[in-house]
Amino acid sequence: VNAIEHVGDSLAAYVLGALEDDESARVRAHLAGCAACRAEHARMAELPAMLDLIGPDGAPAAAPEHLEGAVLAGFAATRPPARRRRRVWLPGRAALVGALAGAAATVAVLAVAGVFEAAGRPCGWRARTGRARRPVPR
Amino acid sequence: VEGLKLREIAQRLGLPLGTVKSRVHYAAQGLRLALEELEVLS
Repeated sequence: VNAIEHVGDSLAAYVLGALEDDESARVRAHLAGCAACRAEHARMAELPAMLDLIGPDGAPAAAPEHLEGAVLAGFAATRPPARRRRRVWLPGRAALVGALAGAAATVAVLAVAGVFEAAGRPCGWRARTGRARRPVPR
Repeated sequence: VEGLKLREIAQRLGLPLGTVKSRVHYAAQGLRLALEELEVLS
């Protein structure tokens, strides 16, 4: 039964030690025989240490003073500035990419329209939208 | 992290055990995703 009933939705509670002993034993037994759940467990396993960095009031707990400097130095050492992009939360990111693509397309259209206009040819796009065209200096 | 069991959390909050379990699950998933996005976790 354990081999079929995966434990993915119990793993967070498992790594946090929030499961009852029998439930915890069931998860452990399943992990021994299920590579997929083991992989998921490995991804969850770092979270408790992260959460332990937070104090009860939400502020960072007493971290060693040198920690921040060490972390920042580590970032500086391992990440070239060009790669240093702060990525946005996933659902928002898709929207952002879409918005950027839309903006880029708009800019491209305007640029093309501008080129045609500058070349003295009538710009159909602007004509259709009914916007007043600036007289082309010629 | 106080180290409470799911059952104790459910009692304190007056919520069903399954609700607490799924909230812990989704919270952990969200946190991990956020940390991955920030490249804190790989």
